Amino acid sequence: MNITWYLLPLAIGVSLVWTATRYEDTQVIVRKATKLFTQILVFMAVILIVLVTLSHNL
Amino acid sequence: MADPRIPLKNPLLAGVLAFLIPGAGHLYQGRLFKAAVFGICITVLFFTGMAMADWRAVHTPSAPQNWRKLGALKFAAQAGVGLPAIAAYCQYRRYIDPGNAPPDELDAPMSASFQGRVFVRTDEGIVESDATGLVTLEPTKGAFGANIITGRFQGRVGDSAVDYELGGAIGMTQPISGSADRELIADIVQETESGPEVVGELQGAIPRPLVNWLFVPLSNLQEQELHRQLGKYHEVAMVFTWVAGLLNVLVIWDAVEGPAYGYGDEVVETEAEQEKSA
Repeated sequence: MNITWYLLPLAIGVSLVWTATRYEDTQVIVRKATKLFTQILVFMAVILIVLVTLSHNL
Repeated sequence: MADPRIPLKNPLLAGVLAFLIPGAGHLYQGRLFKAAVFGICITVLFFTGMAMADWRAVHTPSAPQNWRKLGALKFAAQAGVGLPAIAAYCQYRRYIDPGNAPPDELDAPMSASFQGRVFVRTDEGIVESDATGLVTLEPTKGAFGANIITGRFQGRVGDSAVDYELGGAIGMTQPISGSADRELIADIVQETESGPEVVGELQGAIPRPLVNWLFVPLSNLQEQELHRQLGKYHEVAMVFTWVAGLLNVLVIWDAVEGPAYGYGDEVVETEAEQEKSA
């Protein structure tokens, strides 16, 4: 399995635990955790695109 | 001051429980959703890391002088998950105990499954073969009354069944170490008219009991070997255990003080007002 896939459980765990330690309301936790998870994935995808672009033709 | 709707009960007890087992503090407080989130997420992250690192990710530095080095920082990050960290510290105390040394003699007979290689002297030279079987060792009185170790190896060497007598130099690594395999080297001896004669050597490993290797500090050699075996997956495994430990610090804080930003419905109200004004 490609090492990148390990990002998913890590990002899910970090998003849920981080958000759950900020708020108490279940719906707020789920909504904010989903948002944080998406933000982490988008950020990592942007980093990936930048690295792929910079390493193009190397 | 925590929101009165949040049942913190005895915050100190909840904090201790949260430290020992992720989610246990919130379970005690009756905050079931958060207990499930913390319990599942942190435990899964932690044990995924442990499994990826061959169950050898969590350990303290291997010697007192190494506590000031980077290894201590690694352990500090993992220490947020309390029970394994306590177990690792207990194993460290057992590991550095002067009694944990390669044995010169045995207190009692022992037998264990063996896997390794056999080197036997023949007329054509030394023949090397795979060996699996059972090793039995026992304390014996040698010449001049010295305590020595003797034993037998019964098993398969290559395709044939063998029964070797062991004696001479029998060496084992220390009983408590960070590897599931305990190295064993023994001379194979044969009785001749002029007395016992060494005809070969047994080299391999017998299993250590789980309690003698799990959470035990790794020697430099064992750590390098683990890096060689696992490569970049070792780093990922360490990150999983570090993240789990650090996240549990936040969980302990939440169990003691309540959530950092409040209950959460304040956020909903603020967002609703923002939408209304937009």
